[in-house]
Amino acid sequence: MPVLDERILIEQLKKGDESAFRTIVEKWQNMVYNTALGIVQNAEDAEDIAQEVFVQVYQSINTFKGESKFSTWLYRITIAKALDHERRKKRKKRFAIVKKLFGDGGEEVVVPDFEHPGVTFDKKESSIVLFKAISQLPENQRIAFSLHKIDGLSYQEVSEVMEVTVSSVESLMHRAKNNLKKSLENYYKNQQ
Amino acid sequence: MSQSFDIQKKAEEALNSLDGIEIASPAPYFFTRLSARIQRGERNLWEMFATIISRPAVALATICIILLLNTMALFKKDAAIKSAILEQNEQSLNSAYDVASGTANNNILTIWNPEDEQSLEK
Repeated sequence: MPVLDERILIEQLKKGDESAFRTIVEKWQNMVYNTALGIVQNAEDAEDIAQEVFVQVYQSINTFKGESKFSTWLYRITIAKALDHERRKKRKKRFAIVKKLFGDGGEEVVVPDFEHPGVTFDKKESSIVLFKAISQLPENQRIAFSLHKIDGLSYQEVSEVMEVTVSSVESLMHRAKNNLKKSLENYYKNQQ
Repeated sequence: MSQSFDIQKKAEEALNSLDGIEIASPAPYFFTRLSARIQRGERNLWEMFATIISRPAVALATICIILLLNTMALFKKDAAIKSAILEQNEQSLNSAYDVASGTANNNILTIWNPEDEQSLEK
């Protein structure tokens, strides 16, 4: 979408135009959903986060000053919401463990294997192992890796979304790849 | 040696398994579900307020603030009562002093009359 059209749409939404909102959602829903899915690795949660993102866009479009690209703003909201969602989930998990310790009927939360719908059939199995390893990465490395590898953003775009320099993104990617390699090697070693 | 090579190969394969990944999309009628959520959200503003208020941290903070305000009010009231008593004491002392000094002056005036003194000299 040309930048001018994008600006017109945003201005229309700021004036409360519902059809502009619909166009914005239809244009960016896949991008938002895909980013959320890459981080939370669960289709239902990703849908929930994508909805939350657009609710926030609808409610606080007036805070968007146009200093960055609209898509960059959307990526930032999505990442913040996804990380918040993960923290809430972790808190619930910890609470369930504590409940279980006190014999209060708390059930252990089992995380199912994640299959990304966009991965080709022949790579499905190895991608499940990779996604498990990705979920173990430190937050910054995970975001950088996910934005670059799953969302297909360039290092420059990742740096804009994460508000860091390109060299920081390079460093994060390098460390992420090293950590993933170690984690995958350990996994396959234990399999044998 | 070949085992280690095999592991490295598998790890490399897994690492490259996201190459050529396609973008995932949400289930159909995403916008319909989103609109319903926005409408639900607008109706549930009061519920949201109640949820925020009933959070343990918020409830505890509110109780602490109320207790603090009560304590402050109590101390302020105590100080006001003390200052009122002091003021009252001061006033009664002043009035007593005024009366005493007034009487004393009167006495002096009545006792010491310069005209009387002059008549005595004569």
